[in-house]
Amino acid sequence: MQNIMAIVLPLATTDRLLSSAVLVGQKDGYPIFVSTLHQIGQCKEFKIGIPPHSGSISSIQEYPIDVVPAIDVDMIKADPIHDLAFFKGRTTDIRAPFPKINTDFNDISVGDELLVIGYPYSTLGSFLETASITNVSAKGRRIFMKTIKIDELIISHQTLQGSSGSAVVKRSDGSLCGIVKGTLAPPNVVSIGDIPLASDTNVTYVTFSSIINETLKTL
Amino acid sequence: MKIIFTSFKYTDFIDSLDPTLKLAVYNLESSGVALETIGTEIASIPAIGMTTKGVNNWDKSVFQKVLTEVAKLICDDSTETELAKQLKSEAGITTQIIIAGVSDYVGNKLGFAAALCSPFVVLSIAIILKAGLNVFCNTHKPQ
Repeated sequence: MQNIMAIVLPLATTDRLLSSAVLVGQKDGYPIFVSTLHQIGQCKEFKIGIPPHSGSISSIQEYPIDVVPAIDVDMIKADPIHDLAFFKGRTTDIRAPFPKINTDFNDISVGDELLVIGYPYSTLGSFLETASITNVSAKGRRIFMKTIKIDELIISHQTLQGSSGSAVVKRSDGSLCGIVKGTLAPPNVVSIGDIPLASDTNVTYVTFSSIINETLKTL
Repeated sequence: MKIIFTSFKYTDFIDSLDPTLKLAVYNLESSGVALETIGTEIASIPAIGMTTKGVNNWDKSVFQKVLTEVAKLICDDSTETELAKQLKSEAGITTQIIIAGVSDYVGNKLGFAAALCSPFVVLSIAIILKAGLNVFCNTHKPQ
């Protein structure tokens, strides 16, 4: 597998793992992570777990893991329109490469090969990071209230608990081109717990990455 | 607390939003959509039409909850909060200082991270200022 630039680590609150989070840049030496907003809920304290493989997906991952070090992070920005949350680490000790962020929606074509990198089992307490190959099934532009336009990639990918916030990387150049948002689920359907029975977990929506770049400029 | 806001226009707060959200708010407002409707609709976006399988903790009523708390904070002059004292003591107060302080206060009240509340705090303050501080507070009944 080629070198992948996106470092993805699990986002946690004080007592449980919440989702995946992507290291996207730095501010004054402090690392900036992005994840989705919808899984945050009433949490006020956040951590980024650093499993033994440090988010290097090509490494062998050992398990079980007894203790995972973590860094404290503060949520610094919420973007409800794009369902994104930005976090800033409280340490400058993180030394890792930042991904090239794809800002050109026209650079992505239907059929392009992608990698989805994240911690799909994190909400079950697992620190197993996976990378799955998929393709762009469609490019979408969600129109909301006839005004707000949200660029999205639709991919054929099995989304599981914890997949939210996973990095979607274009395989040909390693650029970060999106953040996994969720699966198609018509509203108001019968659910078991919070899993809608009518959801199709293979139709996954990805928030296109250009908004990450724009937001980083405002921090 | 009202006195802190008297030198600001509601657009001063909208202008502090991130470019995408600011543009959306102005476009929707110019189409005749009320700021309160905009806040309610935007708060529903992270959960609308789709859900992440398994974990979806998003509270679609977050905007209304924030608006209620901000209205109480601004309109209730019967007790002066620590936040009000702190903001009044600030020389050269800016919208950013107000938004940070109010978001922290409201976040603590509701149990949300301050940053999560921030865009909804901005819209709430804008609603109150657009209506007029006294007009809004005279009609607002704290719950």
